[in-house]
Amino acid sequence: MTAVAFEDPSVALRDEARRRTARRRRTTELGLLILAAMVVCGTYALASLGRTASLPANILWFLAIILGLGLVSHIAVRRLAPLADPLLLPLALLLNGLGYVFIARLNNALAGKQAGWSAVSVIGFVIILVALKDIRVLERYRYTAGLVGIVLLVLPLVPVIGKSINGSRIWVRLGPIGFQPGEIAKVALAIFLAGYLVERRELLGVANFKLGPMTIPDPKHFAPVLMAVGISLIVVVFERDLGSALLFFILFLVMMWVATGRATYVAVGMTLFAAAAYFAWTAFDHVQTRVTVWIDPWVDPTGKGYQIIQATYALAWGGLTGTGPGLGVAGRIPKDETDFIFAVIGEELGLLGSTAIICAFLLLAGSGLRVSRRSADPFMSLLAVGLTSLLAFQAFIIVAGVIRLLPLTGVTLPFVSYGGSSLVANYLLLALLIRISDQVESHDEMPVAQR
Amino acid sequence: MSEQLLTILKFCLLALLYLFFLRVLRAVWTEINPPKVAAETPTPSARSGRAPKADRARSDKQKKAPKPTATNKGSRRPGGVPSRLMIIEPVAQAGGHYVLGPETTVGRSPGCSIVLDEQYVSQVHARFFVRGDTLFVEDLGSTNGTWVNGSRAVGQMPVRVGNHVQIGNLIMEAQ
Repeated sequence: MTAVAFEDPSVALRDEARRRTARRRRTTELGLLILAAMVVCGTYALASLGRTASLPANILWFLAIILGLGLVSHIAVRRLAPLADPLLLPLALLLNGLGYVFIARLNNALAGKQAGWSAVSVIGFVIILVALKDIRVLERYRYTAGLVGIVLLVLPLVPVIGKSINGSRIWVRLGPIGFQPGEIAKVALAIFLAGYLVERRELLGVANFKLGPMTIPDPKHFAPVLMAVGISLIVVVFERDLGSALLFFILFLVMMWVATGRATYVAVGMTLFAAAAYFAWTAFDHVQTRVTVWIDPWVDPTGKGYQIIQATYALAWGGLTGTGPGLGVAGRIPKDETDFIFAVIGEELGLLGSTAIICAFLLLAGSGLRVSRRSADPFMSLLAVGLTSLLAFQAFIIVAGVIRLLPLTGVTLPFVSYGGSSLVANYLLLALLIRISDQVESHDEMPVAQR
Repeated sequence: MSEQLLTILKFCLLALLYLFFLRVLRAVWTEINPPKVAAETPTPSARSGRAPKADRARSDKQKKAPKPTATNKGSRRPGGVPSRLMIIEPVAQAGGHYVLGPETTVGRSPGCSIVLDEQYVSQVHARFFVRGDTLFVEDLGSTNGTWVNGSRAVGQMPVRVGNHVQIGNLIMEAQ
């Protein structure tokens, strides 16, 4: 037995360096938040000018509320996670703010609700930061998280409280408030997968089970993962929510791949996916409709293809710089404040504006992956990957659906679309990422200067 | 007129939007290349996270363990038994070292004599031991292996002064 002997670290120097980093990051964050608030307010004012040729009466209130929400979350981060990445919060606030402006421009009644949900989300964000000081606590509750995720997913199928809206049975209505538990379930499932895969990572990486000509890792280690994902997929298919099914599947593949470092899983997963997709296409007519309309929306231009055709018109009408906020043809696309908000932004802010939205998601994904790369703790690293891919792929799935790159599968555009559950879940996800980010930097075992 | 004004305002808005992204990119740049002041941070003590208190407690318990000092470096015979592992990579930790005893286990498990809490290190990764006047390393069934001078250690492998030993991401030189 010997002592671990390192040159005695100068703790004071290190703390000073950390304080400096924290100060730099928080200053950057505050600057970006203020700029984001200005962009959002500018869009709001312009949308009102375009529509009614006058500044909105409540513009000052609006500015105050946006800045207020930004400041509350900023102060929370400054106090509770001072070393966190400075980009995550401003990008989320920009997306949330722009989304709100376009919702307000399309449907005033929904705008009030969305503002309320934004406030609730920010409160939830702060609560997570206050309550969760060490993200590794979640590792201990991985099975609980998995169970919670599945229960939340099953909830809409329960007869009395479950509600079917627009053909998807993904709603739960309790008294006056309705929400989609699936949005929270995806975060819970990411926690479960991260915890479980880290625990079994070494076993899953070793192939020692003979299956015909192939040697694969022992299938018994997969059982819980396959069960959790299988249940989620089955449930989601019963609820006729294709977007979420796709999202869960991608989450599962990405996390398996990252945890084991074996591309075989991706290949096998893709093959399974192709088979499942073909089966779904032959077995369910709503899937068939989606694919038909994707390949050629003009087969039924006034019916099933109407929505996607109008979205294409909107994007084309927007051109490079858009018609200007408030000047587009509002309300021509059904469900334009949720699934199709991207087309509305494309119409009124043009290619440049919609590219900005995509840039924001790219930068969010980049920051998330950077957090993961810097983490020495495998659980935190894997969880960061999972959360980031949830956010990025959800944005990809819906944007690709709107621009007809993929068949349309209805999910919300994170932070932008109207929808309380989605907003709350995504702020929760953001809080977890920020907590990981802070912990990565201040974690005692973390080599300070390693990049 | 009003329409033109709106168009101009729209361009201003788009410019502001992209100004935001320019600032974001600049922030990313600062994150990747921190300003010079940050470079003065105590890089050699990268592993500083290991609470000094714990270090002290451990060395109190094992007073007989040779105390590493910078001065005994010169007195080391080149052909002798390596008695410590000097970190070469990651650069952030370079200069730190672990002292080897007659029998030293390395791994993520807190029970190991050298605890490396890193992603690519297994619970009980490898063991170093001295037989006669040779230091050997033996991989204890780790996932990612133990490497001596770039080749994977199989069975018991001798480690001589100047050899490079890699465990996980850590590359160390035997001294």
